[in-house]
Amino acid sequence: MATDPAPNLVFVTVDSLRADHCGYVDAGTGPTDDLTPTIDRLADEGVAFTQAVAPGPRTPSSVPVFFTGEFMSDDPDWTMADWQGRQGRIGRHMARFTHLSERLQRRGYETATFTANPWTTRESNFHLGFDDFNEVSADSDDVQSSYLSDSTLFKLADAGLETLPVDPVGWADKKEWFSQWTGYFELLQERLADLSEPFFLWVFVLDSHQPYITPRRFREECAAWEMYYSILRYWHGETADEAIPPHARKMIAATYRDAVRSVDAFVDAVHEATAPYDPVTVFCSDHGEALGEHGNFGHEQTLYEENLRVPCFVHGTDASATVREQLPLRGLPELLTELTEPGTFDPRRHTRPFAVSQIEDNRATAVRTTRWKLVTRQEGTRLYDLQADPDETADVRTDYPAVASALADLRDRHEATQAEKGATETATADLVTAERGSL
Amino acid sequence: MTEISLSDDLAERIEGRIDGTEFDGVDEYAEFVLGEVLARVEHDAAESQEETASREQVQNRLQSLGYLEE
Repeated sequence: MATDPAPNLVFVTVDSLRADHCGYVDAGTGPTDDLTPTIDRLADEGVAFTQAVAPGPRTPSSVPVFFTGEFMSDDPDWTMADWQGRQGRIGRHMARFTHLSERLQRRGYETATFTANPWTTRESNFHLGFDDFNEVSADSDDVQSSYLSDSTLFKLADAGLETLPVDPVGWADKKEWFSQWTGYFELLQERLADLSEPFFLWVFVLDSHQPYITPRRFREECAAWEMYYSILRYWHGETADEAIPPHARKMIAATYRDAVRSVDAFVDAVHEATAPYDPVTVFCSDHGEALGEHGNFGHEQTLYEENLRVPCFVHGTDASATVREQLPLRGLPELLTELTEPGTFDPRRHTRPFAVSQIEDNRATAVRTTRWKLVTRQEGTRLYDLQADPDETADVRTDYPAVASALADLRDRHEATQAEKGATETATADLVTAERGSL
Repeated sequence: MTEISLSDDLAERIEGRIDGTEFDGVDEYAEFVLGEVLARVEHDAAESQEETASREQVQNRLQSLGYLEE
């Protein structure tokens, strides 16, 4: 009996997209139900995960984990103050495991990527396992900088604004702010046509990352001046350590919603462009985004829901379901590998009652269920009841000591596991070094 | 799946190491360790990290996106 061929796989990752800004996630109860009609439609047609959880609140603590299925170890050769050390640590982590794109490559897939996030570059070994690696940035050798954006201001900066006598805002050093899918989509379509099947295409877009500069055609709430004002007001608040006033907070939230509209248009465009190849599409964001909750904007080193809860759906298989159990993104390598075999996808095989998340330096850990979250930091431990207190304001350890104890036990098991994996990492590194020395 | 056999002594030593961890059993531990060793050997990790952009360019990218405030 003939078996169906392995399907093409399209993996769309969006930077900093909050779960509650995708209408399907809270289905009529969320504050922003109408921003993402395409995401909602595809989630409805496929398998919609409403409780997907990122392994970390920022790209460096999330994407390396969901590409390898493993948390990063307590590597001593870096500090948070040393960005090259942080990059090197990610690179060592990516080389330590056979990660997602390599697994698919071994299964006969031609693998290609367009990635706009600066933590997922050749320097951090994300090119391993990709036949065609396209880093989208102002300084990339893969994609001409003119493809980064179709913004007029960007084109001025890219054309040499830095050479002008006056650039008071410093746009020339902030070209990444303008990273927009509309700039390089045509290029993506061209590369897509060249891929042999089955292919794995990973696209990692930055459009909903700060500072939310969005093409005019997708903006419904903000004029250009409001968009740029909110960026500069936010940046001023950050650098001067000043609180952001209420009117600016509202404006920042509105610019973010416009950015989410642009992301939805991107998903629509990708869906249309890849439809002739009948792919299975997996969609998720790498982490969420704070819009003033807990005194934060963007994605700080915190483990609150606004930063950890993410949208995720699988479209194009025979399966159709709304899955309300937790999906830790850490399990994506297994999920995507399973999708290579038609007819075998079981969404609930990938859900877990407990999900662990960590910040980049592993100094804060969250153990989450659909109701509870235990967060342990150096300053102490807090238990949140996510149903009764979705804003995570009250520590209820004394009210629910058995819950706190059970989750603490899971945290301890996670830490013991990481310690054991750290021991094998050291031993393996020594072994490989010794082997090289003997050659 | 391919089954392999381990000596009782080795299996017991692994069981001793995975007590209190998330490893489900000896199989999972052996799969993890072998997978790590092979990935290391195949990647030749020390030589795989490439440098394409200048230090200043990368630093500017990370800075502009708010990643260097720590």
